[in-house]
Amino acid sequence: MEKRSSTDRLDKLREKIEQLRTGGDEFGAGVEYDDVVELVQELETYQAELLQANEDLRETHEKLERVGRKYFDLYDLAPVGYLTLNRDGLITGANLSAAGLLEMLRGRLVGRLLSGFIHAESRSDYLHLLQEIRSDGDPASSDVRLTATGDELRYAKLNISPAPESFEMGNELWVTLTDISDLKRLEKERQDLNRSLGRYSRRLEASNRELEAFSYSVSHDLRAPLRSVGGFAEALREEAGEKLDERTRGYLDRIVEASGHMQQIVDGLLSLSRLTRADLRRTRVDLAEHARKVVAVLQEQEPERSVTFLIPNRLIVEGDNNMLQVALDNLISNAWKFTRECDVARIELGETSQAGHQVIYMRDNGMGFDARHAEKIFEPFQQAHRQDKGNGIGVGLAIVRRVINRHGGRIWAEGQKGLGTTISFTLSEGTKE
Amino acid sequence: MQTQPVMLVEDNDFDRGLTCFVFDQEHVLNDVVLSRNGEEAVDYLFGDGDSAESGLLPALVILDLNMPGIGGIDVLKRIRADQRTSRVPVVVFTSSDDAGDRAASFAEGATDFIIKSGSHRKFADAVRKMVAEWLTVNCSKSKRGDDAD
Repeated sequence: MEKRSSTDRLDKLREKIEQLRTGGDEFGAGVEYDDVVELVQELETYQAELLQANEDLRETHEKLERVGRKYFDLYDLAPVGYLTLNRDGLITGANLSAAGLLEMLRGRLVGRLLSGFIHAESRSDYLHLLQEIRSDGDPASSDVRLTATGDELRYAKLNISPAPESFEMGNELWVTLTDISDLKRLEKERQDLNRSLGRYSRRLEASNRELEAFSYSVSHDLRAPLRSVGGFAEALREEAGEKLDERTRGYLDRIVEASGHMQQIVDGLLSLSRLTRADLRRTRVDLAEHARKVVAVLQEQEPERSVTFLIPNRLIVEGDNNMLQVALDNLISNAWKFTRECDVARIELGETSQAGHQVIYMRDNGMGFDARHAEKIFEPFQQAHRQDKGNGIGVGLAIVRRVINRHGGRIWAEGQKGLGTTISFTLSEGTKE
Repeated sequence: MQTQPVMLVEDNDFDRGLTCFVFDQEHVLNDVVLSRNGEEAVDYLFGDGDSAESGLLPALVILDLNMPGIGGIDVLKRIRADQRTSRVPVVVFTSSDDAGDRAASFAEGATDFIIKSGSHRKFADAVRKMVAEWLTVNCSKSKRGDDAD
């Protein structure tokens, strides 16, 4: 409307000028002065309006340019590649990021098949995606490998959806490409690391098993000759002992004693080894009941000793019955041994709770140990009281620890020299050995 | 009437030596048939050799399990399969504490399953018990007068 009226006005002005021109002679006679003045005024008004319109136009143009720049920033420089495809998968448009990802100038992209930029290993995935969207029209996505001119592997997440109906290009497909090469590379590195970690841990497990089998077979094979040494040394002592003098008889005593000690070591090693190989079967076990049996045996062996035992009526735990019996045997025997010097020996089995875990403890008021060695006492053949003779071979607590470790539990010792020992353990936290 | 011997099937020199020493202490060494492996045991029991001729089948077999060649279980199977020996008591005497070995031994008809102790004293005690067992078997057989099956 605006345009129409402004054209009309221009036409009218032209008409007036024509009339004025044709109305007079060449000297202007016959032209009314007032008419001319009026016309000039009209022309001046018109010129001012034109200037204003021109200014408006310039502003509109600037606005458009800003919108254009914004569009460029948003579309072309987006961190994601945008592409439009026709139904056949031919590229009809692309932003600069897409051109960068596909490693081709934007101008040359149009008219090419997108599948040509997808690596052979992903091409069937892409074609499948394309087929699906043509049939059901649901947006879909897939990780695809792109062809690359360089050595590096390039991957993109490809999203594909039909252009909205309202959009002019209603028949086209919109594709976004997100560069996930770094992600894929990191993922691959992680997988490689995991694989090599797995390899190392399998190798470690294998060599552990090998060591275990070695230690088992060595201890196993040592038993027969060791029995022979002990048996015949003792036979010699019995049959020829009287013919020997005190000194040489002493040598024989030492052989018998040493072979007996070594027999215990080998048996200890075998028990440790068996505990590692045996299957663990968890059931409900009453530790109190078993403890009473162990105590009865000990008291029968040394009836002259008076030891106060504090054992609850029931102490139920979840664990492997056989292994827990072995552990309890060793714990009680230890406590029994290390309270030998006490006037009033006291041994207590009980339970408490720590951070929601059941904690079993065995407490005695015996000779205790140097708190600095709290960790060491669980090592095989590390005795807290090496100077004391006849205290066994120091494999007892190592056996207890292995039992606890097999259960995925934790074991620790508290004590002070001369003030007793408390060994505590759980059966269900921590990591399995 | 002849005493039926005790048969020891043991491939380990040390263990055979210590067992024989206990036999000697118990004064029964002269009544022992020694087999150093499964082959020797099978040969004695089922070959054309000694036992077939003399009719001296053992009254008790002390049988080691892990032996090269014919193993203890195989020997046990042969003993149980033959009518002449099927009722001879066989005590498995082994260093294996494997539950599978134990189960297999009883499944094949072992009379007892005794694990060799690491301690020479307990080992000797176990042998003495087997000697006593052998004497009991022999004694009851003499009384019944059926010295050969």
